[in-house]
Amino acid sequence: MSVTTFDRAAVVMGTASIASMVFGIEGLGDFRFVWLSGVSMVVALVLGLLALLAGALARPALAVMAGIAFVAAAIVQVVSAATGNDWLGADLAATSLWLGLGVGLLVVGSAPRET
Amino acid sequence: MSTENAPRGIMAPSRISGWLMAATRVGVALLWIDNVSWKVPPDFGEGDPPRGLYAWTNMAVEHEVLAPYAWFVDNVVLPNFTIFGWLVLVVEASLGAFLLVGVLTRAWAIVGMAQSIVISLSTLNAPHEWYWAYLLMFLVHLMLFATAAGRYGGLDGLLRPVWQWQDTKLARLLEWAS
Repeated sequence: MSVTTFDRAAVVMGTASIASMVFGIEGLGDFRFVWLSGVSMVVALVLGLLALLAGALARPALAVMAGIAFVAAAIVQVVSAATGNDWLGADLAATSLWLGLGVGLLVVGSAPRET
Repeated sequence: MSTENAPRGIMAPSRISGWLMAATRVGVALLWIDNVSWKVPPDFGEGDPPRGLYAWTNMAVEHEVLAPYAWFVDNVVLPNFTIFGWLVLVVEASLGAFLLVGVLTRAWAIVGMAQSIVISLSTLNAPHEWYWAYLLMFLVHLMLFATAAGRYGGLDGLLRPVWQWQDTKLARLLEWAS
């Protein structure tokens, strides 16, 4: 299957997730827009790699899988915060970040490849 | 970007301008993403002393900007704060999410303008606040709407040809919202 612009978008979103691991650096101070540590760093890396592979290999189904996983991680983070827990080592900003990546990957994974 | 690919009704920018608009959109998304972190359920800061979102919302009453809005906050919002707290969390997390990837950007820019107004009605007269911050928040969302910033370096730019090809009312709505 040839790589489309949607696949390239999946690569970008996967790269963005991997790049978000920079928010694990405590020295960022006020520029630490998202709090990531521990399990959430693994989430960012693994799902980012999945999205990147989905785009590089032109596999929309993998992009959808990554999208679902990001949305699930966002929901888990909300539940974690609402119950006073810290299951993922992240904050609610990660919820918004993962929701965006999840929606984006679901969109590119389910978009028609031919018009 | 060539004019033959220009979005209907909006001038196609140069490549650099397109990427600058995308960078602005992502920057605004990070604004919302960053500020979701302190809207923490289940109580959203309701308590003694009030903190977080509850404290900020209470400013609409303590430092009134618009009397009807202050009445609404005092009599409707604060007594039912859990519901409104969740609403704010969902709206602002979604604002950050959708602006980040550039999906339905014009619609979310309108939501951002509305939310900027709501925030202003709580904080404009509060101590140590800089009123220009809230005017600038409104103006930047106005620019995201006017420039349809999701069409450049965003998923709106990829999805619009799909919607334009589809001849349905939903597709027309999605086109407008992007």
